[in-house]
Amino acid sequence: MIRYLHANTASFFFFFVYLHIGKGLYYGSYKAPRVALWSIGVIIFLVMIITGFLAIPWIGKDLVEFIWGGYSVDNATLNRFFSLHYLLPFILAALVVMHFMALHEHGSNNPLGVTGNADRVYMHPYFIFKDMVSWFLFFLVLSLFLFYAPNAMGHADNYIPANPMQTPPSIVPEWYLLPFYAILRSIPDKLGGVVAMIGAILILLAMPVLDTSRIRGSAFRPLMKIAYWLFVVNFLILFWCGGQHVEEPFITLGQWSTGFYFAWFLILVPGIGIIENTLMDISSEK
Amino acid sequence: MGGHGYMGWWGNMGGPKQKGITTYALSPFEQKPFAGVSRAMIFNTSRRVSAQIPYIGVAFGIGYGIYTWATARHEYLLSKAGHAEAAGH
Repeated sequence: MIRYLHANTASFFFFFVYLHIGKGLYYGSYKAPRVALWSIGVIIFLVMIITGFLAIPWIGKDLVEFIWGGYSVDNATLNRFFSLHYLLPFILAALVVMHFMALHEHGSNNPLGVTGNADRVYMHPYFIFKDMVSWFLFFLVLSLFLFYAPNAMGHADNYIPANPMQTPPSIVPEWYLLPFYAILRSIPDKLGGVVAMIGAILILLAMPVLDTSRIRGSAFRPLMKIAYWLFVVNFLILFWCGGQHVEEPFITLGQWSTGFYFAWFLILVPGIGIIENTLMDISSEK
Repeated sequence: MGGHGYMGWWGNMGGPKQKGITTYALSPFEQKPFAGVSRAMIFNTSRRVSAQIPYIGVAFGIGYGIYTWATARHEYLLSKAGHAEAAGH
């Protein structure tokens, strides 16, 4: 049960983190003055991914072979990965403290994207009790998974013990790694795939620069709303492709999705901002 | 530390000092914290959610189209006809 608790809580952790990042993207929480907060958050996400990934020696093995091209991966590698899987959470905890410190510099963002500075309430009791509703709901749902469907979010292939003599015929990472796994394997070049995968996470760091709009958040930006949901759906497609066998049409679809993923950051977000600002300038001209 | 932000440091709320605030409270018997909540739960929620459908629906519509296309295509490629096509016959 403790192992199931570990695995399922990790799944929920990632689920909430994806929602949290999605919320940050939608409401423009990355914009100045909260760039430090956002950047630390992205690093936390990266370390989380690495930590989660190290828990699955089968996938790790594949990646090491990707990078080291055929060196044998044996017990020592798995041990090393496991040690890091234990060690990195402490680094994560320290990063979370830094995330809080950065948050306390400027306070939370809100859906309207304007300052809420004039009207504040204390964390305790207002937010503590409000959050407790979510905690209890979370424990309820977690218990449902834990006691009734502990393997629902895992994959049967991950119960095959690691065998240094055999590369698994198909690998399925935990669901929360799938989009980035899809990006990894959609690049035919081995090193290029790794670079694209890490780039897909680190590109979030560029959001404060890429978002050219003068308005914080998407609540009052119809074009950005449509673009945001296109990004979400594209990410869901990457989730889906990452879990499929490496066969057509998923190879081509994964490549197009990867293309759209990067195009969203590099073309759509700055482009929509420029269009909005220009329309605003034109309409405010006499 | 801090000081230049909107907020004070760790629990110090900062912000402009508020003056002249009169605080009073209704008696708990007079408060109606759940006034209209059952109506709002249905009509307010549905109105606000449906206002977002044009923005969300476009993306999910396209996504669902891609999903059904890819599933059908995958199944076709695994069929005898699909194999023949892949082999160039």
